Amino acid sequence: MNFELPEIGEGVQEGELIAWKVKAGDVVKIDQTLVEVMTDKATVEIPSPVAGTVKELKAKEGEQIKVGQTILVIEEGAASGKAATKTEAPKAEAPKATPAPLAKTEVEAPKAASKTTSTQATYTNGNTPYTGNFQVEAGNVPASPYVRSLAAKAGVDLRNVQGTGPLVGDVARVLEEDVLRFVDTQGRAATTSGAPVSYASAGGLQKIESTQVATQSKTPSKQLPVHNFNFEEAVERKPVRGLRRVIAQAMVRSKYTAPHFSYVDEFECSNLMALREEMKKSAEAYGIKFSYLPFVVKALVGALKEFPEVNSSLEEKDGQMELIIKKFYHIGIAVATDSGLIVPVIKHADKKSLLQIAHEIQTLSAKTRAGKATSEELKGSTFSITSMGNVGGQFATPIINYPEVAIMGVYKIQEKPVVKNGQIVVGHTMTLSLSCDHRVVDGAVAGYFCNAVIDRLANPSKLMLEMV
Amino acid sequence: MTFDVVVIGGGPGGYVAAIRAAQEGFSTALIEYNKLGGECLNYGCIPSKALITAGHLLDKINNASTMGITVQGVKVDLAKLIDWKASIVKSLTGGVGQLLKANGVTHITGKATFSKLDGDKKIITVEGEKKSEITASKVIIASGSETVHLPFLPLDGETVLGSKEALDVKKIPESIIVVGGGFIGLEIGTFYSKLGTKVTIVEATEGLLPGTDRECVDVVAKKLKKKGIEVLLKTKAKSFKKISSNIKKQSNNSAELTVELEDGSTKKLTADWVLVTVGRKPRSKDLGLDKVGVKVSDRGFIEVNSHLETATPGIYAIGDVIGGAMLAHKASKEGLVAVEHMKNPATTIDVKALPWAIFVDPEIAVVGHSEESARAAGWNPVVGKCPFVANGRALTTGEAEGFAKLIVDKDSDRVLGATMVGPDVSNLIMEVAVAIEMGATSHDIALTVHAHPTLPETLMEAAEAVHGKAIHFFQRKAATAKTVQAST
Repeated sequence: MNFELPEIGEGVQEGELIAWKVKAGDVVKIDQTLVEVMTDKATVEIPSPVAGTVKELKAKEGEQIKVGQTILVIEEGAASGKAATKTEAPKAEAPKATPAPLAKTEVEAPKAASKTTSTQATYTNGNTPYTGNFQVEAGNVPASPYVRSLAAKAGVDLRNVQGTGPLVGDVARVLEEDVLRFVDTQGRAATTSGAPVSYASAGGLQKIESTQVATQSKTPSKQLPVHNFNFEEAVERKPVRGLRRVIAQAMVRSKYTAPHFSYVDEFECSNLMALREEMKKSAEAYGIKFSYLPFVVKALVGALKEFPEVNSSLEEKDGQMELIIKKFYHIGIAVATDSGLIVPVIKHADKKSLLQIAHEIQTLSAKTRAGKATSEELKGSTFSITSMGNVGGQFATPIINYPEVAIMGVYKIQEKPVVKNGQIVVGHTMTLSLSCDHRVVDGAVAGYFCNAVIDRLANPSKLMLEMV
Repeated sequence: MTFDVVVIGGGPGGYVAAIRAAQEGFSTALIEYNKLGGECLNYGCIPSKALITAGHLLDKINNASTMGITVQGVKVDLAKLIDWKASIVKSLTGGVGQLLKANGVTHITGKATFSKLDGDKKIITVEGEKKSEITASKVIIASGSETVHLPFLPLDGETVLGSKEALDVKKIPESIIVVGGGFIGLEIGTFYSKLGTKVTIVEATEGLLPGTDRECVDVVAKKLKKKGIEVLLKTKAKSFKKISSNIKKQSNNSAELTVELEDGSTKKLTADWVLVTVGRKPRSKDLGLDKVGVKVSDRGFIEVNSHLETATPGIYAIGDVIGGAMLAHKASKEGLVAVEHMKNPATTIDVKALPWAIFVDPEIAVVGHSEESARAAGWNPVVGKCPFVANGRALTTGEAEGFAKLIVDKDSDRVLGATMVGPDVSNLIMEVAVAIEMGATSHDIALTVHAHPTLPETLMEAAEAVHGKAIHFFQRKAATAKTVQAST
């Protein structure tokens, strides 16, 4: 017969042939493993549906094989003829699916268990055999079924409990209150002695719920407390819609398309601070709040002109890749809003003054937070900035605003000891991070690009040279 | 499909476990390939009791002349009787289906086979109308048992019948041979005898109802003899031949059974059919137990621990398939314990009294220790016995054969067991079962006022008899029990 690869799992159409367990000429029995196939879900051992002789292997190790594809030819009946006719359809045979490589040791468990079938003591869970004795054993303490179940739940051996019920011979019947009293006093004793206290009951001892119950030393309880934890009651399910959904999809697309790496550097920013202080005052006359971001935008535009591939996107079509290098500089500024992250765009940042940029950032951010930014104002960026200065932290590794190829993180200015002219003095440092798409931007380029940005920010006079 | 609990088998063990599992909040499925209710409801307890009751009524009518009632023209419409029996079975099995549904149990029709373990999960293949795969966290195997066949006596449903077929016949046989003098053979044999069939019972051991109190069996054996039932003890069925005859153009098959008597000689017995009731075996094959590491004994019984859990954690087995007494109520109890254990790992089976009854004529009922087993267990047993002839109510029903024996520990006066034969003892036995479970003494029973005139008074008298103080029959010599102060 031509042996076709049977169904190897729900929705699984193909798998990688990991290893042949037989070779041409081998005599195989029913259920003997023929081949190991790995799917994206599991590694599966495929058993032989018939007894016979392997004539030919029709697939190689490492090959992708499809369900229904003939993978070997078996001549039936050579080994033990009778059994051969029994199972015609290989698809009816349940393959011995084994959950993927990681769980290999676990996978062996059932086999090991069945191997030890003939030996004793395989019970892992309580080894008192079931005797089927439904009679009163000698020395049994008289107690009602309810009292006995109560004691069992509390892990109490009734032989240790002094009953106060009517005498049965010279033994007093153990009553409910006797068990409860015993549990109570034992619990206290155990608590004061520091012995471990366990509570083996999942109900039935409501009357003493607040009391800790000691397991007796004679019968140490192996039982952990039973938590009636209901997952569905402990969670709230909310549909993910709108902006959150868009963000989720965009982040996944970016992270799974562009292999990210991050580059972080810091620089002494006293000069920048001094300049910004001056400009801030001047800008106030225009009613404009002047932050550090306009400087960063301008520094970036300068650096992007130096390193054009950082202001690009990568297009892949029909197996062909094309880098689209953009000669315009639209800088996205990530803005946190109540409903999620939105990136308004400063268009043609290279052609705008610091004051214009400061003004745009101010108005665009406000509009965005108010949910009033137009879709035109929210698209078309060629490079993005995310500023964590207001939040804190050392630095982050932001995710690229795909299809851009890099994003810059700007972090808060910190006072730090710096070395100036051989002296340790208190300086001000700013940290920048750059996350890059490694398909386009290599590590060295990222470093040089970052240097180019820092050079402009650390020495803002250089920015003036580039002013339009 | 994925469930918390999957129960394999819809008999009195399985369906009870499934309903309780659902009550406890587990998502539960029950897989049964045949009819809900299992052997008990469909082919065993219930149909046989329906017929036995009818036979008993017929017997009473036929013997009503002592009460001054003469009935003429009594006849049995067998088809109607079988229909009536079937209607009871239908209503009970239908009720099981409704209860499962009402409790939210998913009822799956098909044959269940374990295919593998996947971590903690148990994967079960079900072959029903279509093949499906079920994943379960916990599984309860309640697959039950099936009739043992004798190799030379294969059931053909015509001349060789099993208990199931014998409860579903088209006409009353003129004669039958019952192979096996256990309770199933005696119950069905007695029924047919009451319908007028000539019954011969062939038993290999030295007594009927092996394992049952001899004194009780004697009462039953005496009555069998009185009814004209022939009992061949220490007799083995050897070979079988089907005889075909053609009388008046009607073909007729009958059975010829060759038996070996006690002295080694052989004898040919002929009858309309042979009923084979030689025992039952666990249904543990074809469940794929080896695929999930469940251990099975040499005799095919699934081995469990005192939590009813098999060698594989999370797989339980209950009822006939684990052996012991093959009783519906034992299976039910084990099912409840298994489910309780899923919730509370401290749970073990703790049963002091497992009552059971044999519906022969008169009935036999047993709970707890016999005198012998109590002694073997280390007790110092003493027996209080009261005959039903000392009971007014028994006399007024016309059924005063038999007695009640109460087995009590002499030192503590604790009630350890009871063995009864007589009218309605299947119902009377429960008083003693409760007493045993409660750790009651014979004084507790004796001091409890029993209504007059009722059959349970016999038990009160038996409890008094333990101390030589029976009122309604004279005890020549006080029993040996020490006199326990009534007030403690």
